[in-house]
Amino acid sequence: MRHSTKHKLSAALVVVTAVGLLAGCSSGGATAGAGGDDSGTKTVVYVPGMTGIAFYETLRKGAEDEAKKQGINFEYQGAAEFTPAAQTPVVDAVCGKKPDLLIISPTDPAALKPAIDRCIAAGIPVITVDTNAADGTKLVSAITSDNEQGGEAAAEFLGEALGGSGEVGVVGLDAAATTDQLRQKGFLAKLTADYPDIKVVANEYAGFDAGQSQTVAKSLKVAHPDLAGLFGIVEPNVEGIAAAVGSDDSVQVIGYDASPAEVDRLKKGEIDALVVQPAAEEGSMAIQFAKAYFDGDTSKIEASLLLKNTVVTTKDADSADSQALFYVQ
Amino acid sequence: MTATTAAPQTATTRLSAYGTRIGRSRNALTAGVLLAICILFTILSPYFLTQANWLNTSTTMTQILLLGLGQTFVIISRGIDLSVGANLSLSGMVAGAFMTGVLAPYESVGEVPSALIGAALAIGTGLLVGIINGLLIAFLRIPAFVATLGMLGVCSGASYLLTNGQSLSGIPTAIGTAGNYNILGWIPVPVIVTAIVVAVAIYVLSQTRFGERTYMLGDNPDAVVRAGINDRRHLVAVYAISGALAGLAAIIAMGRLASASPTAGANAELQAIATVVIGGASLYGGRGTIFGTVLGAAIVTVLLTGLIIIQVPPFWQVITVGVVLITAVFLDQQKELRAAKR
Repeated sequence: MRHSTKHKLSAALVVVTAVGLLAGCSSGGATAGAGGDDSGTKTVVYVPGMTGIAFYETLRKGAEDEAKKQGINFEYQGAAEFTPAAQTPVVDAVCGKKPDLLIISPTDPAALKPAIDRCIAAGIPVITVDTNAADGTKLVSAITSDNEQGGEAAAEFLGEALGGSGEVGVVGLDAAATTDQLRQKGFLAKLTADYPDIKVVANEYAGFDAGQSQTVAKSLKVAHPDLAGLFGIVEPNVEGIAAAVGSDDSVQVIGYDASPAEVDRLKKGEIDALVVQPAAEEGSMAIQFAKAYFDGDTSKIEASLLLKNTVVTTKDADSADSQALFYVQ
Repeated sequence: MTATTAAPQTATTRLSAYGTRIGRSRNALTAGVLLAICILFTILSPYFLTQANWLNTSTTMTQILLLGLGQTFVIISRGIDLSVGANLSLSGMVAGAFMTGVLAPYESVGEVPSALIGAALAIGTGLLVGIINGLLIAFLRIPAFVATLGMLGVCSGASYLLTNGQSLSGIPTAIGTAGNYNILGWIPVPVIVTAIVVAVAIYVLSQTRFGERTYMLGDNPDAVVRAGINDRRHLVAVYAISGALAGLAAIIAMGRLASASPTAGANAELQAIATVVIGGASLYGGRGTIFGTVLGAAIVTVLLTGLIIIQVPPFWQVITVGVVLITAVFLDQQKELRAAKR
């Protein structure tokens, strides 16, 4: 044999390195040109879970609009990947520039705690939005849209749409993602409590991947011919389910969020309902609390603020109220 | 391994024959594994052998297989292309952005011509990415691993940049209709398209001088240079094929989803490499067949859909696929060792 063991070992090493590199490869987000200046204008930086997601973009816009109103300088910096490994360096870089306040949507409560604590230790106050930091983090405020309540709302929609009985399935993102865990927890708890005759026949995970979600949803339909409802946990899951089910009316589809592509499918009836988060409101509340903090007016700050999600169905997709909730691009 | 110091032409012919011979017995093994998996699934679920499962599995397979076919050329030439998944996403998004941004609302150009322009643009983008890969590797001498890993990042980032991460659902409906149409109820359009590509790939790799040189490049690059063959140009061509097929896969992905999504090719490169390796190609180059890759793609896809159908819990699905990959390569190495001892 021409290929020595050494050769093979080095090849194996290369593969191992590759996996590591792949995991971190798309993690570089540009770093902020933040920093407090002496003119008295306060700078607030927002670090989302990842960039290029309609939900975070809408939250950002809500914050940006409010910041303009309040005369606060607003900046936005994020990683291109939804992992603590990608988000931590962004947080470190942002806090290294000493902004007056940090707003962050942690990708993981425990894994981001050290980075958030470093910012707080450096004298930078922190507000979390959408997702939480681990208990014991000294935050100015924690603003969340209630993921468990969102899961419950999805269960309630399916429960009512199916008349209280039938088989349903879930296509999720990743069992380790807290967003996923909480939405599923609320969904399952609500079904158990109020719709005991609805049976969850499968919980599959398809990652952040619309094509994979489509294949998984179709397989679920094959495996469970009586399947009457599907719940998609994040946007690509919802998109894949909608493409798999199409205009098949025997399966009720409920998804999460309201990106332009999702809203388009909602109007076509491929998606029957969406759980829409108050994204813009989360952003604007964070800036209002930041302003109150800067003014020393702490009575206006709620240490923990839980905002409710809204379910929008195909029927009321065109109403003005719904339009106001849908995400921006 | 074969001696390659003989006169170039003789060496080429001998190599090709060698590759085919090993390929045939290896393919019998892979086909056996596929058959065993199918029989097991049929016993475990009444829904495995159904029209609905065939349609879902075969359509899903086309996307994995198209990337695998390009990867087969690359791996035989002793290279690797990690950019194919991101290239798929980018090609789809470029075509989608052009169609929805420039050609929509399709009244002046027409739905079908718009779809064809989009398809050409997707393949063109994929081809361009492939050519860049090839130039980086052949002329700047950047290792294939690093060059295509870098391009994975570039393509993935660019596909998100185009629309800030948003999917585009306003593509011509003709694309979604074709992508989900089943001829006579049983043969999905993507399957026909992919079958044609498979036939062409088999011909090119086993019957043409281009194919012989691809094997030769993987088995002994120095001999290729000594034979006076332009190895650099050949390498660029190999990566160009892989890129163009990623572009074609992007159209199929767009057709299935009836939208262009920046997540369409997520992690598809690892699936493509697994497909080729399960199909019997050697990561050291010089060995592999198109038919093997077809079988490899079938195994990967049947596991993907079948494990859901027999209701294996999700985490066990991932473990099973990993174990099958390792087992396939292990069996192959045992065979090779026995052959070497003889």
